[in-house]
Amino acid sequence: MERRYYLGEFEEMVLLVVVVQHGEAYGLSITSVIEEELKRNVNMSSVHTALYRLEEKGYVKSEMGGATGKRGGRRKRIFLITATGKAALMEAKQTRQYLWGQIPSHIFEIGGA
Amino acid sequence: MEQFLPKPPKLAERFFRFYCNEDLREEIEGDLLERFYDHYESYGLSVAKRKYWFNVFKFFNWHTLKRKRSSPRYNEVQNNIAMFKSYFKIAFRNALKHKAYTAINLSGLVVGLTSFILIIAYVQHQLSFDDFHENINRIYRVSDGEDAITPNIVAPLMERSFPDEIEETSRTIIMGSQIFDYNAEPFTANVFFADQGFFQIFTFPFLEGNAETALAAKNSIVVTREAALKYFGKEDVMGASVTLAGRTCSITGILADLPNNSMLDFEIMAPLQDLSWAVRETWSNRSYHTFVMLKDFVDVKQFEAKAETILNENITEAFGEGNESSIFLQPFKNIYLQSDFHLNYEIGNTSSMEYVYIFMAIAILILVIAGINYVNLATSRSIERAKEVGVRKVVGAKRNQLVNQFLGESILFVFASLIVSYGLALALLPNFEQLSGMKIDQAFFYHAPFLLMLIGIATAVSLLAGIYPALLLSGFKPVSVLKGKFSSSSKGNTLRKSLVVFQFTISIFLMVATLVVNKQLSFIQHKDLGYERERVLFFRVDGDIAKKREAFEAELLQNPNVINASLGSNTPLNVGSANGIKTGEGEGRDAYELIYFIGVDENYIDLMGMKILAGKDFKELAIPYNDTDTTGSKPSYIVNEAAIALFNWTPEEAVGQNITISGQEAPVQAVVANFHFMNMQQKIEPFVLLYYPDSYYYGLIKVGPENMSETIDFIQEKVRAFSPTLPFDYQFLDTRFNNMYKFETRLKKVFLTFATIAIIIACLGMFGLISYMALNRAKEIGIRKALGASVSNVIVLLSSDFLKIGALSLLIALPLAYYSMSTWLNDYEYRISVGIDIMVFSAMAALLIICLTIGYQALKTAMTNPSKYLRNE
Repeated sequence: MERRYYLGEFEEMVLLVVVVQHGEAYGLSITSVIEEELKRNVNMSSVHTALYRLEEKGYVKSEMGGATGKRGGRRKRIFLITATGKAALMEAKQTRQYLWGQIPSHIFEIGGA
Repeated sequence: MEQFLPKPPKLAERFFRFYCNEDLREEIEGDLLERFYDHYESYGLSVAKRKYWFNVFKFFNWHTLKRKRSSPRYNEVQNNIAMFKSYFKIAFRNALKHKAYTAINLSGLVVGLTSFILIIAYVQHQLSFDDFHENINRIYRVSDGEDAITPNIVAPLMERSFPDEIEETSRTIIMGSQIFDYNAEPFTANVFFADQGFFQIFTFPFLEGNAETALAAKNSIVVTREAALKYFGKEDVMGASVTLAGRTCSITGILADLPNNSMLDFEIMAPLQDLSWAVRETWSNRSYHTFVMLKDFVDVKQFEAKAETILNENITEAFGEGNESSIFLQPFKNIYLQSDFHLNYEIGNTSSMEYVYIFMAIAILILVIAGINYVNLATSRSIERAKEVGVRKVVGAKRNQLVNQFLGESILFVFASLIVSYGLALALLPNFEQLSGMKIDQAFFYHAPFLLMLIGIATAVSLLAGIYPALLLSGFKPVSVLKGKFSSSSKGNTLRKSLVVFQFTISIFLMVATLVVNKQLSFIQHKDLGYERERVLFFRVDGDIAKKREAFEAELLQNPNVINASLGSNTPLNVGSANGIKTGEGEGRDAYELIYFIGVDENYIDLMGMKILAGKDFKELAIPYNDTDTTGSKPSYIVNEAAIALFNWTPEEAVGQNITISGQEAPVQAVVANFHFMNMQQKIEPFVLLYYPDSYYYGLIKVGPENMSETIDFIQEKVRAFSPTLPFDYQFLDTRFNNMYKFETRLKKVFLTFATIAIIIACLGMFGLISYMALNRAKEIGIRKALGASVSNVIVLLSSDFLKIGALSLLIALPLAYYSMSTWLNDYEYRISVGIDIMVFSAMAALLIICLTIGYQALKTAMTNPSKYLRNE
């Protein structure tokens, strides 16, 4: 299988959260999801960095919007997945599914080695 | 939400704003603030504040610092190398396609850079003088601010008075050539006499023997390896014995060759204690360079003041009040370039900071001219590159990529030239030595700092010269360029023209400078000195000849080609000693003026062709000066015009008047016309000729123009006969005279060389420009010709611009040159004026050069059949 997209593990997770929170995803919201729902310790700055990198690769696009009082009137940068981003995610998923399919069936059976 | 809202730490906010780039600030600040309130609600204010700080620090990274947020760029990164390849390929193709242009451009750069490298090597060499002495920063020479030499007593007195501050002192006498005898073979070598401390103060490594003891014993001498090879024919001469002034000395040390950048230049070093007259501590015997090495911690300024007090106490003790003198400690490292004092009786081998500055200025000017050439040629060819730029832009090139491309091209050109220039400079080093008068080590070229500096300079040149063309070329609008509507802007033309004006201004300036230096030099060399220096040779004589002077001179005169022979204490060119002449009342300093003297015999004035204005020559009347002590008779004084001017006498009035020189009162016997016994920079000072048989150190012989070499052989034979141990090392007076003006001679050569180079580069640039203009206006010229313009019309059309440039450059350069060269000439007491002739000549030459440069191209364009230009339409 030829690989056309480059997506790190952390990038993939961030990208998935962007899709999950469709239209609402911004730096802090993604950080909160990863921290609270996925119980994974993460730096807010690493999430931002990952987002900028995804944007450079063309997997997400962004627009400004959604200022709240809590943010001192500052707007959020809302990230949205692009077609390329979707293709990259799909490819990652397919790669995994393919590999899962290749696993000999007895391995994950109860009592398997 | 509550009414009260806490604020995140101010300082953290400020720090964040300081580093974060504008585009990202809003979103990240918002996130940070929101996070802050989340934390505040869950953990309280202090934790929230701490976490806020942490987050601010964590955001300090590549993205927030530098990167501009830009719209997504797809897969751009992967193609960089291919693009670089393309840039290089295009650069080479362009260079090959326009061979003439490339040659002009490269040769300008190569000539400029080669000159620059050589000059900088020279400058560095000059600045590196004496830096090999380990203690260079602690070595000082004591002086009174006027003379480089000090009385004998100064060194020992200071050493005794300041044991805590002074580590070592050494009195050093620069004796010049001395006569040695080795196995009955006489030779003369350049000798210093110094106290034992000399080798502790200065770092001259010993090959044999050691620095502490080499000069300790009487009659020991130290030779350099070079001198050992030269005079003894072998290196291993330890313990060998030679005779110096009747004493047998043994060699106790051999020094490694003195470095090229050593100011102290000797072949043989002997202990000062060997000179019986030199050891007694007196204030009157002043022939010594007093070197001191201070201890590490000593503050020089304070020490200087203390030393002055102590020395003046001693002077007052010896001579009474009113004789105090200033004391300066001159850093040894400043002596060579004379950057703080210009002293009398200086060590011969000095240069001057002024000279270094002139060289540096020329280096930079040449480089600027070469850089301007590059700018002009690159921009003038913009039409050809315009289409390329248009296509690149259409295909998606950004402006900064194009800027990088063109900057890269200039870097390529400059560094290619740098490599060629480096090789060329190495090859030309021997020729450059003639020009600069300095032996520069080739090793110098391989020093890392020097190489780094060259790379730095080349980078700077390529960026400075490349940035304007790069910005200009990358700024074209693809639509208009590709439509063919492109024409070079008049703004670019103005800039190009002003740059050419600048180049020509520099060139013309250097041309005028060359002519002025040349004129002054030839003025000096042809000026009536008040004596004749042609065909006069001089040589050292010893006591054997001095005692039998009359017989010696008579023997010489037997040869019809010996016109005259004489002995004297000095030639008129190396008068060093001065006495006081009393011109006022009392005994204070103000009552005396300095009067220079030489001791001569009765033939001297005749031989030198000096003119007696009034009174009797020594031929008619001579009372030996050394007899005056014993017999009480009054000496014969023959003084010059400058001396009688002190008393406002005419020559006739002066004869017979009593004057007091060095405490000896006697009548003026005759007045001799002024003659130049010093550099032309100095005024002619009062002078007295003494009939002084005890002071005959030089023989002077005037020879006839025929069979000169035979005559010299004859003289040598006679010298041998009278003094078998005396080497006959003669020199001609006019050679010696020209040596005095080494600086001017060299300056002339330097200006001539670099003025020529500057003009050549500027002309190359102009040639490139006119070629471009002719091309640019080809259609216009074709149409003009088709409509009946004549060849001369077209030539005038093409050249008028350049003649205007020439005229403007002249307008700027001539006054500038006039002013600065007049300032230079002001250093000379005897000088030319810059003169209208030089100005007119420079102007004509400049215009002629411009005409020749553009003439070919203008003529070629004007003669071409118009159909060739027009048929493409």
